[in-house]
Amino acid sequence: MDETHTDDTLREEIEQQVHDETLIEGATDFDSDYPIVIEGLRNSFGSQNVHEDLSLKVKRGEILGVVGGSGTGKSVLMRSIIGLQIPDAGTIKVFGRSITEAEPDEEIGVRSRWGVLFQGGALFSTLTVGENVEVPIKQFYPEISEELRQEIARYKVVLSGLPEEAASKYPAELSGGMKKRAGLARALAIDPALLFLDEPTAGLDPVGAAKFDELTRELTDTLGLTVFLITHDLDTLYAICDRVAVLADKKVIAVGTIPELLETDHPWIQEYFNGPRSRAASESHDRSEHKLKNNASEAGTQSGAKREAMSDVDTDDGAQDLAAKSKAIDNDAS
Amino acid sequence: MREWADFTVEEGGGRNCVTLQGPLTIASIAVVDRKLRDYDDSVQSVDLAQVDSIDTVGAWVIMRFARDKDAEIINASDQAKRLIAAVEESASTAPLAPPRLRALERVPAEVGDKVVDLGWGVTSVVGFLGAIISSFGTLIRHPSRFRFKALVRQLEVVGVSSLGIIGLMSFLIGIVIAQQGAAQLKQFGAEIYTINLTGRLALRELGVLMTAIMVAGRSGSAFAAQLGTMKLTEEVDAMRTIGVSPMEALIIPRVLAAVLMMPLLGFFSCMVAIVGGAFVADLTLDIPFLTFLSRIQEVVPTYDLWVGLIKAPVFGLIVALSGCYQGMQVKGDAEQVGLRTTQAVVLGIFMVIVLDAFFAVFFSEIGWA
Ligand SMILES: Nc1ncnc2c1ncn2[C@@H]1O[C@H](COP(=O)(O)OP(=O)(O)OP(=O)(O)O)[C@@H](O)[C@H]1O
Ligand SMILES: [Mg+2]
Repeated sequence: MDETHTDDTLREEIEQQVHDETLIEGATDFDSDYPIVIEGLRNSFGSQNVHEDLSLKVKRGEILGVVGGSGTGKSVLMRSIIGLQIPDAGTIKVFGRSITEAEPDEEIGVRSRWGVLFQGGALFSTLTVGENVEVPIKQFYPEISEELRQEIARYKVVLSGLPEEAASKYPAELSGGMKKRAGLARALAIDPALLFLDEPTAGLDPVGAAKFDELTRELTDTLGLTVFLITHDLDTLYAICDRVAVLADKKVIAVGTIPELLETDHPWIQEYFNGPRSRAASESHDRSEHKLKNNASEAGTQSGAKREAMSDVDTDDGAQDLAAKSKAIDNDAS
Repeated sequence: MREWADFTVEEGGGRNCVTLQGPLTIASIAVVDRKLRDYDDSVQSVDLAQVDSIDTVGAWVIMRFARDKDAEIINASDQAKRLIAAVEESASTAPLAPPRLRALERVPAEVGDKVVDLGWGVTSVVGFLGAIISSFGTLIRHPSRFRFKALVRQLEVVGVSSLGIIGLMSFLIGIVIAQQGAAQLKQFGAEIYTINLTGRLALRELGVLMTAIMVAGRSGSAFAAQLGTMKLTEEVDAMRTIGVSPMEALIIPRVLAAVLMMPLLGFFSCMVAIVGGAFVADLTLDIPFLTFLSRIQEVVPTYDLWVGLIKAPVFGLIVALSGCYQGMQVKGDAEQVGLRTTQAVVLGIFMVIVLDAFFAVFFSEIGWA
């Protein structure tokens, strides 16, 4: 009897420390099929319109790649979704909760469910990497004991691909790629359900970038994460994205799997996915897929023939695999 | 109400089995984490059959418990196994903050550092001044490289846009000197000397000194913060690689602007202070406004004006030097920008006051008393 009594007081004590705001359930729906729904979004800076009547839906559990030329407004779109950029018009809902109607710093109950990796890292420069990771945990889950919080920070640092000594370094002492990883560790700190990554693999070495991709995929598969991933890295697109959204002409002009996008005849998409870099990426992706399946028949094929195989998507094993992966995902998002 | 994870212990034949229940996620782990930490019996197996969801934090807590107790994890779902494997691979014991010395060692070490820094600080300020002078020399030989636009811009920022605040401040100072002076001099029936007091004090000391303090607060701090931020964002490094000397592009225009503007601002300040004094005299001492002004010409020696005007550019140099030097010393993090900005202002004002004392002695020695 005594035992359970102390248990109850422990629980009460912990419940008193709990952040009430993180419990706001209200209008949020963490199980909705579309964690992010954007409709009719318009963003402008002065007289320059960045987005015009932009709509996009992100499905639960998918990795959505967002591509577009430099300056087409990918980062601005991400900032709008997380409530840092107030749009001129349109609605944005995250987990069913309207971001556009909330005040900039209003507690809307979804911040504890997302993690954000900014394009520039945006680490707190006066804290070490480990302390950076501790910040969101302390903020959203103050009831967690200091010991556990530090343990979490440590393994997140290593999980993100940093050497363990990096935990006690200040951001100014890190290389560009290490800052990216530290940013990822902070974005993953609270095991978010929704992850925003702005060019995570830019500035990483190819081996590191591939590991980064693998990690993102692994986390998505095991934790059921939804990932909004802005990237210029074609290898990432082919390797891990379930669907790709293309930003051009101030809108999302197409969303779908890569084979589906290839069927559209928008010149930018054609140029993007049929450019030499894209072909190289898709070939190397095919190769690794084939290797996985021990399919040796492709081995001797000339690169020209491969190129054909790629444009003729239906007969291509790799493409079929991709298509199969996203079969459940229909194309209603634009 | 939040749902907390929990556990029960089953004993069977000397084997303890810990069975976890509920969601094992970051939001629900706090209670069970503390209870598991306090649990000191031996455990042979950890049963996850009743766990309905798990994330990396839950996986970590189980992994750590099982590892510490040397227990076996059973009935883990596929997802749980993958997560536990992932966090196990990432386990680390590295410290999160750089090692700190004990207070007993830290205090003497920091005192030592401060002393050494002070020595270095003096040499590097002198070095900085030398660099400014030498690049000024280069500019004189290659006048085409001189950044005229940057200078004009700084002249505007340092000088023109501070006229309002300096004018207001000086007017009030003039009022205070005249009013307080009159109150004391009245006791000897010597109110008329209020004119001497206001005129001489404003021209020799207060006009220029207060202006220097205002410029240190307005422009010295701005120099430090701007240059410091540019250092942090690597703008200064980028300039160097393009072959633009930060000295010529950033520092010379700022220093020159402060040196050129200080005499003008100081003179302006003196004049406004005298007008302020005349205003009070007119209202409270029955000395007409214009009489006050014409008496100033008679009672204030010309060298008083020179005393002020000679000090002004030197003060300007000190303030700009301190701002630019501190700004260029920034490295590392955002906190440094704030720290260096504060130091720029504090040291700038301090040096101005020290120098002012030297000047006071110097000028009275050469007979400009
Ligand atoms: N704070 C701002 N003020 C004014 N214009 C801005 C601002 N932020 C972004 N823009 C403009 O919005 C447009 C989109 O910028 P954004 O940063 O979203 O591009 P991006 O698609 O992320 O490009 P990149 O791939 O290079 O990162 C650009 O034309 C940019 O000039
Ligand atoms: Mg961007």
